Amino acid sequence: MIKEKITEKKDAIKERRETTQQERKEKLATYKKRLATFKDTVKAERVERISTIFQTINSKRTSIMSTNLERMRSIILKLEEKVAQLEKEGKDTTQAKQAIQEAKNGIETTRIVVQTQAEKEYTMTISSENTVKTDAATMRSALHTDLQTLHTTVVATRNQLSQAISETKILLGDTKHGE
Amino acid sequence: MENNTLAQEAPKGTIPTPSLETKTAKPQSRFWMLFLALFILGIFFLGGTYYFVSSQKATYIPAQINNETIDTQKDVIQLEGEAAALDIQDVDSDFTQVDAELKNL
Repeated sequence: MIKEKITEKKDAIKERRETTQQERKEKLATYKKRLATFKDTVKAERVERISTIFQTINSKRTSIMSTNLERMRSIILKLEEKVAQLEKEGKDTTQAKQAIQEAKNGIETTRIVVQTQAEKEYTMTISSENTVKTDAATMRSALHTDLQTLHTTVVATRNQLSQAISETKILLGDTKHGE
Repeated sequence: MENNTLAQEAPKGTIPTPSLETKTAKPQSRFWMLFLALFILGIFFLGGTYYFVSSQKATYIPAQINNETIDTQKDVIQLEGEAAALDIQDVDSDFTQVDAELKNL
């Protein structure tokens, strides 16, 4: 059920990627054309620089998030092995296995969302030379909101991982847990 | 002798009733009876308190663990450390440069 949902989401992303590629090209062409008409060349350079920074922030941040999610994945797989071992020893692993599965699903879903975010482009829609500051501020705000939302999702995923670890610790008879 | 006066004076066929003096115990023996009753009550009270207090205490029964479990515990703690060490920073710090550029625009 969850795997199906993930596959559906992947397909939707693929489809969206293909359709937006053309739109992106057109948007970039319009942006460059508008920028070329700027009388203040220093301003145009600054806009260009800000645009580059937007892309850098997005790629840097999503790259860090991807690395973290990859680590989370590695941790959860190791944890799964430990729980399987404990199950062989005859322990009731129901709770721990459920928590692990939830964490795995969370990691997988967040990975897809991060991937989508990494592919996003933050090309400014320049209305005119006079309003370019507002245009840039709008784009900054959009990027910040997107990354902030993603950050919250990654934190929630990490919490799911912590929950799975806690459940495994209970399984191991860690009496300190929950005191 | 005086105690038997009433019994002797009672008409035939009736059960002689004891005098008031026979019903009441001597003051000294009454004190000891009261003392004994209070003593027993005190013992019950102390016993009950001890039972209540000891039942409130959480009993710590250490789980029987073998070396294999200890190793697993260590591994899980290590994984917990790895998860805690994940560098999940807030995104605000990334925007300082772009905010400065926007001010100059």
